[in-house]
Amino acid sequence: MKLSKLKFYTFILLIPVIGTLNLTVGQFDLDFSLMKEALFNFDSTDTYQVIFRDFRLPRLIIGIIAGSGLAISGLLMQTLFNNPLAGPYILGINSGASLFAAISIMTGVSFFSSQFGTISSALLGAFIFGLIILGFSLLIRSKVSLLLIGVMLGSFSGALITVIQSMSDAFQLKKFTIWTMGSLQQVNFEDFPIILLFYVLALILLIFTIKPLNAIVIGEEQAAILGVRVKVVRIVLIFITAILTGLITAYCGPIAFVGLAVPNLVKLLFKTQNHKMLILGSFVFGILFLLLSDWLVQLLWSDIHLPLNAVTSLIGAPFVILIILKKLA
Amino acid sequence: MKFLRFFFFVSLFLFSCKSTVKKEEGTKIGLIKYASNFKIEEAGEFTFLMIINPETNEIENKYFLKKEGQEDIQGMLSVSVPIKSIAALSSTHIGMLNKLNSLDEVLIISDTNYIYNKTIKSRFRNGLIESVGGDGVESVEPILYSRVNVVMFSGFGKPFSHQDKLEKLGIYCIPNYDWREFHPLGKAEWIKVFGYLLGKEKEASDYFDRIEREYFNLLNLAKASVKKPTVFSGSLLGDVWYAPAGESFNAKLYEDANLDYVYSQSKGTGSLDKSFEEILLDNQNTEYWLNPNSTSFTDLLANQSKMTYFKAVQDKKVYDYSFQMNYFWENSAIEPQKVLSDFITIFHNDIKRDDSLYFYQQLKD
Repeated sequence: MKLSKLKFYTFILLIPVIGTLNLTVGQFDLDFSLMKEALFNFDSTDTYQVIFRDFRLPRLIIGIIAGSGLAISGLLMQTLFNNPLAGPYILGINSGASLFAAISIMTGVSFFSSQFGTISSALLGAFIFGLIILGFSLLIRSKVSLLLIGVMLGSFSGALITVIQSMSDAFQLKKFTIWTMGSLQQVNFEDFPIILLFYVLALILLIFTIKPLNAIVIGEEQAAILGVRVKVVRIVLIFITAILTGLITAYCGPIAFVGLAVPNLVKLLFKTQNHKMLILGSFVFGILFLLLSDWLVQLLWSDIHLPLNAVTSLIGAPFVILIILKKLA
Repeated sequence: MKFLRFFFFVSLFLFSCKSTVKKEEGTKIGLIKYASNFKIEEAGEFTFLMIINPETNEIENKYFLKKEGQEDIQGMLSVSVPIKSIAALSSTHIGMLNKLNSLDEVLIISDTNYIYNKTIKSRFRNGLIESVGGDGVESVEPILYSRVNVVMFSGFGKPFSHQDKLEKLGIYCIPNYDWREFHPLGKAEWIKVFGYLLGKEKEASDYFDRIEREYFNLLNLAKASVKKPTVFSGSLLGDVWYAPAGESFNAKLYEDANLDYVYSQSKGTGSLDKSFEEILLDNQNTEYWLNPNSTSFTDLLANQSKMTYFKAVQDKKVYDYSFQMNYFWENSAIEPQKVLSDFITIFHNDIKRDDSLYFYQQLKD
């Protein structure tokens, strides 16, 4: 089974379709004329316009950014570590974000536990842990050692979070638990300048990694013979992953499964090691996957409040197993 | 003769308490007007306390409140009253014990972080009170060490940790469902449970009668107001907005304060979980917002900048009790008339009266 170009383009076209579905379907159906009004003639006293412009549109945009960002980060880590089980969180960068978010939420100081305080702290945590892992990547040659350090960082911060949780009150615990469930609904329009700045920076850097990634697939030593500056590429890949996962975790909480499953799915569908296609595929399928998951969350809201994290795994895992079985057949 | 009389009343009681609460001939149900989760039954010289599980509406525990000179009743938990010591594991218990001047009997509390009462704090600092901890990490050892007569804990339909072992040692664990009462006076009426345990039933009853009178005086005052402001309540946690349901304790307070609570017609006694979209759609123009779980507009907007779309936020008509959270939890249950008084002060400025606020405050900038 190999995905034809035509089918792939069809999937690309599905993005605006699912995106529109996300915008219109929710607690209340919104029509196109209202959306147009909200975009070009915004009236802040019209509740429906407010709901569209300040609730649903930011949710859609962050869904696109988070879906694509996590899938691409997962792909980069899988290629770097030559391991299909690697994901965007393997380096422990999200653990840094989670640790700082936990500290922020459970300090008991209302400003730090506010949404702004949590996001700022999570960004800081991701940045610090990103710097740590980058520092190690400069010192250590072995990829396996780097992978282990990432896992250890994750365990270490996980233990610290447990200690903090044991000292927190019920409300703080609940708040943190909810943060770990992931959500696309916490982002506001005024957050986008900073989000887009880092997201675009990561994508620009990504373009320069396509060729080296194709070389690294055949092995780092061979890539070095072909003239690839492996150490520099490794640092750039870690840097991109740190930016994307740190940013997304800070604003949406840790979102599971997308970064692990989507790159594997894309590899199965595309049957190629060409990273131009793999990145493009991860970009498209990452968006589709997360938007579909969020659409389901919104669709079922009135009956059951499902956390985004649960939905990504609930619909993703059987789907990937199905693809693997089809491949074996 | 004494034995025969004892046997007669005990048989009568055992007969009357099958699984549901029923008044039988010859017994006198202590006058409980509003609380639905406990009953006091007096059969001659014998007094029985029944704790009713609010989920099943059946008796969860029944206790024979054994006065001096009375014998134990076989097969029934016999608590010797007046008790000399108590573990009070909820803020509301401290508030009620305070009203009965019985703080000296408190030997065990839960987490000191939730305590407002200065006497309790001071006694804790001086080592006269121990803490069992809180939020799921309670330790039973301080209770065993102090050998309190009764452990009063917030009921969740489950026995207290190591309850069997504690009861074998004569430490009785009594679940308290004041937090599941729907009427503000029902919650306050739990002071009578403490009264019976401490041998201060008259003081408890007198206190309750007084606050009941005050409550209804204020209720009538509120009803006389020409205004009935619209109000919404609750706060956003993650993606879910929790608001009191129409049949809840808070909704009853809003009704008694002559407020037009947006979700007053909704079903349920707990909280409604709504999306932010729904809340905005229903409340963009609602006049007042109560209990946003914030003390300043800066914090409120840092938490979620979209709150600016509420008219109540634009008009700064947002009030909360979280300025003194522990004070509120400790005292509001036993002083519901003061909560009502706060609402009249906030919402009905056409009523001329003392306008001091007890629990609520307007959010600061």
